[in-house]
Amino acid sequence: MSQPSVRLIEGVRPSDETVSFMFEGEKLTGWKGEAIASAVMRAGLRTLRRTRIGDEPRGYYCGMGLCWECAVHVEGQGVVRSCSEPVREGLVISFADGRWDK
Amino acid sequence: MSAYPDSERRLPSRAYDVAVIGGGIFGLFCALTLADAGKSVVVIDRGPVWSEASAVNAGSLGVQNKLPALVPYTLWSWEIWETLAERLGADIGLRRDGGYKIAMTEAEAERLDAVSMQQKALGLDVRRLTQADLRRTAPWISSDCVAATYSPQDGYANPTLVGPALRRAVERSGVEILDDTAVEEIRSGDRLGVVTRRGEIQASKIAITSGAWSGRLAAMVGVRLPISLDVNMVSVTESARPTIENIVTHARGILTLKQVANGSCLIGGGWQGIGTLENQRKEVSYDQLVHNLRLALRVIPGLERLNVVRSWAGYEGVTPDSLPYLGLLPGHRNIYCAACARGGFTLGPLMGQLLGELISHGETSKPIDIFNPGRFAHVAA
Repeated sequence: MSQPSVRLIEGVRPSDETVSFMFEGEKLTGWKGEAIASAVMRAGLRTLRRTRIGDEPRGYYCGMGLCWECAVHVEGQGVVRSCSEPVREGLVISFADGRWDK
Repeated sequence: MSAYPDSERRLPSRAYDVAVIGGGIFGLFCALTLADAGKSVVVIDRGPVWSEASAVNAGSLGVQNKLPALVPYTLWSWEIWETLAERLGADIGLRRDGGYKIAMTEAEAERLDAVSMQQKALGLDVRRLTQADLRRTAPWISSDCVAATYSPQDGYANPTLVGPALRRAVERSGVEILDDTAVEEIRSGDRLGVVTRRGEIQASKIAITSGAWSGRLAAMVGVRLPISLDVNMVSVTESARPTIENIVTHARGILTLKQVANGSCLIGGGWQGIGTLENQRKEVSYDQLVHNLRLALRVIPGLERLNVVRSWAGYEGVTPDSLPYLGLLPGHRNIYCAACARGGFTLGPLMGQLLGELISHGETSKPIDIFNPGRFAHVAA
């Protein structure tokens, strides 16, 4: 089954200012104020974390902070929901891997 | 509109040997036992089966957190749990890695000692640990913990895996399951029957396995079955690296904690949410939840870094002496009940099986006198 790719709605753009950040070792660019999940998906990446049982990919699901499927780890900050956390310059982001420390 | 396409249809006119009202863990094990004994069985549920206490509890199969009178029954029920995955042909998330029961004050430590001595005398493998032992074997438990006992017999299973697997086994054994079929009336006497919103079901015998709702069903046939309602809360954290290897319970019964296969920690302990059977609410009380989570942090400080992903609440029916009801309803010869064990998920397989034995053979493989549903019939309301 083919999955829909991320498409921008014409004319919608949160900011003209761009920021760069790292996601799983890759350097990505997002718009200032954009959600982490949005910026990562615009870069063509859909996997935001992997499950502990079966090592399955997980990503953006409810999009409103309820389901926690999109959890990622932000260095120095801990685990956040990427659908509702703004991307910022210099963030170092990785799959949420359940560390007991920050 | 119902979630079950069939559930708007009128029921075919059919007579069964036994109608089981309530498709939780008691009812499904009762149905399975009856079907194995060659009886024709229907399970009737007001909602989808396996959607209340059996489904929303935290899955603990604790032996140390049971009343002394229930310890032998807990061990017998564990015999069923031990082979259940194989019997159902499914993964049910069963683990028996042992558990710690902890005390945070001297008073709790005294209680822990008294109860564990009793449990030991009843055949439970339970050991008192020194603080040094505890630091060595469970460094993730706070050093503020003043005393602990350990039993290798504590464990847990995953209720969301058990339910569907058990349902499939029950259906394979020839039992008919009617979801979304609320019972409106029970006809007692010579022409026994269950009147539901979809029509009437004839049965030679009736089993009430309706948990917290059992009192209402017993009242339909003139029996007083006192049951009070707890609205227990459970919380689950985000997935974390496997660290907590055992279940943790508390000397005063106010905390249960485990880290399950997907890395999440489940936190319970009977802290009370909001709701009644009448208003059909079961909601989280954040005022209470705060205390539940604070206690969890005091016991396992490492939890502080983890996000709580969800909290929920579910009903649990509680009898006046916290022992289950199991047996014939007083004044009846073909209406039975099994419901409301403190620790019903642990005890459910045995309780359901014993009720099935009683209905099909007139006797049980374990004594059930202390569970007589008539024991409060003459106590003033």
